[in-house]
Amino acid sequence: MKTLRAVWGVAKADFRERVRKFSFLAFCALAIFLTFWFIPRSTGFTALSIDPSVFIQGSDPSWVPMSSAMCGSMLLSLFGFAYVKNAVRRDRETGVLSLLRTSPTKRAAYLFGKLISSTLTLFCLLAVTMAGSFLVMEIRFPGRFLSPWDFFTPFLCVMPGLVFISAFALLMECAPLFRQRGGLAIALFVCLDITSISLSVSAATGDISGTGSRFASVFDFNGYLWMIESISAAARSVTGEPLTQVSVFSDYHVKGTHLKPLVFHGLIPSVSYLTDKLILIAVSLLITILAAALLPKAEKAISRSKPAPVPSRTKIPSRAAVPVYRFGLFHSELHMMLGTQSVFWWLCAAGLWIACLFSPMKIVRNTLVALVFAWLVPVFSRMGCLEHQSGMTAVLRTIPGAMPRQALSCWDAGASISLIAMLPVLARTLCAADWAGFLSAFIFALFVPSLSLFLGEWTKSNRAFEILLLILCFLALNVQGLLVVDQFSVSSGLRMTVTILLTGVMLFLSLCKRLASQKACT
Amino acid sequence: MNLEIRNLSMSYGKAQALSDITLTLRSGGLIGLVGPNGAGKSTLLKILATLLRPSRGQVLLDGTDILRKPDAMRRLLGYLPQDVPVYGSLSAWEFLAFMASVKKLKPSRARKQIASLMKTLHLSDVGKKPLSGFSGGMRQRVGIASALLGDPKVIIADEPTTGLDPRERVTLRSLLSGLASSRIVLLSTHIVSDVEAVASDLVVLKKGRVLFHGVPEALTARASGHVWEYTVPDFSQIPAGSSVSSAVQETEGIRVKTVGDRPTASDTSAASPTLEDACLYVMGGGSF
Repeated sequence: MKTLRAVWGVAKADFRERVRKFSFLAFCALAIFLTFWFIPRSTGFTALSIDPSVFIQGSDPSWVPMSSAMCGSMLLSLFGFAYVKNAVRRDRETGVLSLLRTSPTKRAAYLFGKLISSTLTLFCLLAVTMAGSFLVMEIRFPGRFLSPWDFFTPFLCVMPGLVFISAFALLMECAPLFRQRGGLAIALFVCLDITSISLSVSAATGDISGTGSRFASVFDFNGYLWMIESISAAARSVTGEPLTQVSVFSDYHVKGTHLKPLVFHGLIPSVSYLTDKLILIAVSLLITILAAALLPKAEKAISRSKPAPVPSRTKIPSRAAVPVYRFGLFHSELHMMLGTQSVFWWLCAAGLWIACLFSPMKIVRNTLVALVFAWLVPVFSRMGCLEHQSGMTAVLRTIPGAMPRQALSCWDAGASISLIAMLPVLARTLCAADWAGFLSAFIFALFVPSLSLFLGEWTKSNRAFEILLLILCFLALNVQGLLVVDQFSVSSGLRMTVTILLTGVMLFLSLCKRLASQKACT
Repeated sequence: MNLEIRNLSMSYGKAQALSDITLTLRSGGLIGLVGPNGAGKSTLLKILATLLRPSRGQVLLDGTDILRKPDAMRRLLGYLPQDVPVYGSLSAWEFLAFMASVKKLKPSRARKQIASLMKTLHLSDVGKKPLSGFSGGMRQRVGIASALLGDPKVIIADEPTTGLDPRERVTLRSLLSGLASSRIVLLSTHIVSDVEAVASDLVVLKKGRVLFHGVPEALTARASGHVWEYTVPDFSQIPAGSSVSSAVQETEGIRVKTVGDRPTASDTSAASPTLEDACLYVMGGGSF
């Protein structure tokens, strides 16, 4: 009873701490905004398309919850993972973990409390998505209602996956290899997510069966298999034929004739799928127990042989040296970004860089570039927010011009790292006279540090950037040529123009905010 | 209640944070742990609070080895770290309720204790405000309340007076001193005046070693005959290398008090040592 009380106490405090932050409100707003984006369209880029040559897309209100659940589960799993994966780190950084270690509460009880809190937080975001879907349904199909089963069940099948995501995030925080390497954890989760979706789709299309199919069903934490089965059942009831195409976030321009309306009736009742979801929850609980075993019982003695990463040479600029004043700062920023990375990180970064140099260009464009930038997340994620988090802004504001100067140097350093990371792609596209590829790669290389600086400066946190870049990398892995195009076209030109504008605007706004902070009296 | 520390050593690579410390701490009076920055006070307290494992040695609480059975200490411990950790979005009441649940207190008992502690520490008026808006002193009081939840038998406070104004420091010292009659209360500080009035047992630490353990009067007596006072016209006249305890501007000049085996200036007079002078003498003194 006492242990349960401790578990509930940890869960309640952690949940309150999360949902009272501005970032939670921002995510809720983002979730509602995205539900409008999830509305299936009859042509062009759409969130969900189902056999567009057979069925009228988005013809019925039942499409709304199904589309929201399918698209929402993918995004919720990604940015939900990034959002909840700091549960233990926050306690470690604030010192609350030390305090808890001196109490009788065991590690397992503590982590189960965190699991409950993280899961409840993700459930809240799911509930917001459901509310947004309801609103969209009312706007798009006024006066047409769905039964509770038809509306709620697509969302309910996502819930066990959210428990799994929370547990996996805890494991990443406690496992020694991933504890300090947030980028690696994110990259691993992206791979896991892609694998899960691929397996689910393969099982749904019958490409795998038997044990493989069962495995895919249990670890289908996005709920896709059950949803696709339900969609298939609805499609078969109309045409008598199996489905041939279900796409999420796709671009199509099929114009068919004699298209049929497709109506969904929620999830098909299935004891097998329900059992698999319960198994997934049980696996999540086991993962949490494993995380508890990996969480250290006591602090490690802090090694004093390695000093904290302080810039080794920070020159105080003299009047005569004003034109080159930024080089000292630039060097410091580079050192702070790269000096804290481990040998393992450097080895993987080097491996990815070499892979970009020698792999077929198609793989580089569609896969490797996304992985490179996912790997660079720990380098970029503190841009713009490190000064706020460490309290340095209080000091920088007392030095004339230091705030915008530091921000600019930070951007310089980030852009340099980004361009060096993209060097193989830039060199290869240049040599092949692939101007579209070169330009898009160059623009993207400048876009990422601008995005990081902007989000870090305005949110004073690294998480917004981590989550957005994660989503971008995930989309890049699924949408060919999203980051590095292979030819000029209207859409690629538009994308590049928007990216350049965004890069400039974000950098400008970041510097403006810094200038404003410098000039403010309080 | 007895806390026995036997041959405790802690090293970080080649650096020795604690060297062969042997102490016995008893309930019945507040125990002051003083020493300069980097002496190893926090390291020692973290080991006693079961947060760190030492490189060598034993710590026995009433005969139980807490390094092997940390729960034996944790069930009785109230720990106040140097920087009070809080959840900024929670109110004081919510945070204390959280700490009470983590300490496995029954809800009814927790509510009574929280109400009583908030009243004692003057937090009742701000109990529902978020902790992010609290001043340093208020956060410290919340930390103290959290440490005192569950009626701990061992209280370890790491520099708890940091950030408190003089009145708050006196209140805290008196509170902890009052609790020490039936508990082991260990308070670390580098400000000697924090423990001067209330400590019945003193441990002086420097560079990981115990320089003194005993009653404050014994430490003061050790410095007797080694404290000197003289007046100089300005600071530049103070001899280099002197262990200066205080240098106060007065109308006649600067009244300097030094500690050492011999006076370092002419025309000095012997002075009665304060506890601070005695600590300075034992620690080898500062220089001016």
